[in-house]
Amino acid sequence: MPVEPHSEIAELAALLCDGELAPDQATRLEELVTASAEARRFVLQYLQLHGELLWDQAGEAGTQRRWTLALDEEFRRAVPSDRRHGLSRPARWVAWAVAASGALVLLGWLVLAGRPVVREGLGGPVARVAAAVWGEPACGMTALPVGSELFEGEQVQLATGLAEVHFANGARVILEGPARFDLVSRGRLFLHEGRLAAQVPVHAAGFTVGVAGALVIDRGTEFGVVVEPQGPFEVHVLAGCVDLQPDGQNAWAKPAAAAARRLHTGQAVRVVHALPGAMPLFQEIALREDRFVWAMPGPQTGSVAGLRRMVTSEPSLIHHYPFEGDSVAQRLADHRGRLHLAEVVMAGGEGAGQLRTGCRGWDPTTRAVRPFRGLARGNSEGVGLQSENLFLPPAEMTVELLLRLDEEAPLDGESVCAAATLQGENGCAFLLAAVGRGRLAFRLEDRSDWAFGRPDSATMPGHPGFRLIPGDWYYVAATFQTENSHTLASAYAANLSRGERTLHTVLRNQPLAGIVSAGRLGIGKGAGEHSMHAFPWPGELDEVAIYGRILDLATLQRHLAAVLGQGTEP
Amino acid sequence: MGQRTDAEVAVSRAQPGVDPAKVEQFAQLLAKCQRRVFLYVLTLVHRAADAEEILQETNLVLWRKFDEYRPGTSFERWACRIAYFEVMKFRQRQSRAERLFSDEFIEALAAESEASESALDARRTALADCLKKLREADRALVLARYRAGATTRSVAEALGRSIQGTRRALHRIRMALLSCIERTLAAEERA
Repeated sequence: MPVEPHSEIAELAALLCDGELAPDQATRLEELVTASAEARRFVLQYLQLHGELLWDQAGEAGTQRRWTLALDEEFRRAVPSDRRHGLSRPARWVAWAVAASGALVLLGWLVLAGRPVVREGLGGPVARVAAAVWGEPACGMTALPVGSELFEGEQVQLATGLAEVHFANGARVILEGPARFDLVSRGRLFLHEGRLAAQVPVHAAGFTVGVAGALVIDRGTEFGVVVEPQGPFEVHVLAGCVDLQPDGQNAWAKPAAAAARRLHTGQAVRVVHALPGAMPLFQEIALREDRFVWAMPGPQTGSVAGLRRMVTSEPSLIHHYPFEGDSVAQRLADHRGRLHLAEVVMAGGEGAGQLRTGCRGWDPTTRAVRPFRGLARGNSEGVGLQSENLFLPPAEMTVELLLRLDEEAPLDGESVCAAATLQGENGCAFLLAAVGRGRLAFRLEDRSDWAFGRPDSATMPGHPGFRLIPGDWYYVAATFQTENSHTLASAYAANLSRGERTLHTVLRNQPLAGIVSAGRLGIGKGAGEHSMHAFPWPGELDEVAIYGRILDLATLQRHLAAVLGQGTEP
Repeated sequence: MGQRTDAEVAVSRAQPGVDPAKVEQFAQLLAKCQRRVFLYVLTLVHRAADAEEILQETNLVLWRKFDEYRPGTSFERWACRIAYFEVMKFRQRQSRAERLFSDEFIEALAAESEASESALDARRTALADCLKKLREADRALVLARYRAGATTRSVAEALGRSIQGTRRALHRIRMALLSCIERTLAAEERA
């Protein structure tokens, strides 16, 4: 007997596909399916239909490409690194990493030892990689050197970093990773995901950036385009004008009929969803010139990738969480030791919400992680990270990381935790926390007082404590030296967003009661149930490094310089 | 020379380190089973992002264990079996709150899915015909919902419709497609 659309089983199957099935509904669905073979068959067919549609519409361009990259990583391990890249040069800014997977056109080429090995079915060269800065050789990426030609029909993925691409028609585009784009012609690209800044001389007018459902056609200008992973996109016009018009190329859609919308200097629009063949519905937003990179950084410019290289070369590094990688598992892995992280719900919490990996970090060469905390219910809806195995802190230790507090973070009277060790359910050593309005704070025993970071008296006299400015990125490092029953702690910080190139000493040899307890390592996660609450970190965390010795101030200063570069003094 | 698939491109990169014949054989088998394994996994974990991640892990395991595969047997079935274990590993990593269903329920769905393997190709062909028969507005809605990264919510917002209304419309279309597939298969059987 056919299942009716409004039957209970059909409604539950629909909720399941839409990701909206509540736990009690799941229990009911399970009962129905267990009791009836017909119900079981129906649910399976409903799910299979859902899967077929997913695969048809997104799979060719998405799923297949992603598994290809994952597979490639496996092979990468099997191939000696000198044969794999063949591109290493001593300079910091020499190459970039891209994946040249065939994806939509099911064709592709790659560069091995700096020359094409496979290249079939693509058109002629339409663009060239003019400059690049790169983070790290990302998982599954095949390196592509500066100067490489890019071919019509080719798809390129930029994992991190920046790449400047010059099109044959004269347009110059800076793409910021993570980004994925197709080379359509000598004057056109299709941006699946990521952000780009285009500078188009008058003679190259007509240069076109395709996005899902729409075309951005240049009329001789400078403009930026952002395509978010979920599909919404923005167009920002810095100078000149562009036309935004529907793209009716989809096989299912009618030819474009609606007129283009012209955007002029200073205008920006956001399109939540564009249906093929119809004029995109958009809302005007404020121009954000600072969202785009309009010029490639020079050799004196620092980056998180530069910090990462410095960190990994430090022999005393024992645990390292750069939060990079293609899969969530890779992003939560300890890249130096075996203290891998896993998502965990806060003590006593309900686990609503999701921790996010792959978030935008301080610069384009990195991705960060973002714990989840419910705004309304605080700790009861929090998700952070915790090591799967026990962390055994050495007697001397340095913890270093980059962090940012949300601008809208509810900080009054709350403690939020960036790094901690969790001793069962009964204790928590806060290696780094922010307490009430973003004051940096440290505490190793439940019942002791917080030690608040003090600013340099020279730079901030009379300041009540070192405060993190919400919305700004910081470099922070703290050292811990165990001495019998207490610990000497020092801490240093610098505001990256404001270009602070000198570390503030916010805590200097401050005796803290207790020692750093052995236990699970918490990142963005605080106390156990009997300890004072610390909410999940409301913002991003990145590049967490733990060293088995006290790094001196000069070393930490060099790490900061790696992020910000040498700069030029005013 | 014919077009190369993604699998061939991917494995061609590995040629300096592995046996080319083995690579070629693996690439061909893998390319053919991807859709099936994705469907299989999706029916067990339900979320597309989770299914994609498990598919990746499964592909790696398939490659690592490729020496254990017996030529002549169904690679697809072998791949689904390995995918099943990857699903179970995935479930172990999930918190209890994330696991909506019991292991018994997942096993039941897996068994049903494996039993339905032979009908999948015919159903897929029928689905392609049925999609063409949809009203234009319904087809556009399906297209919008199933494009990469879209959700029912994002489609509703884009169309200025309520989420509930959009969800009901999608459910109605899915049910219509299922019904159409059944009619198509029944007609073919009679013919």
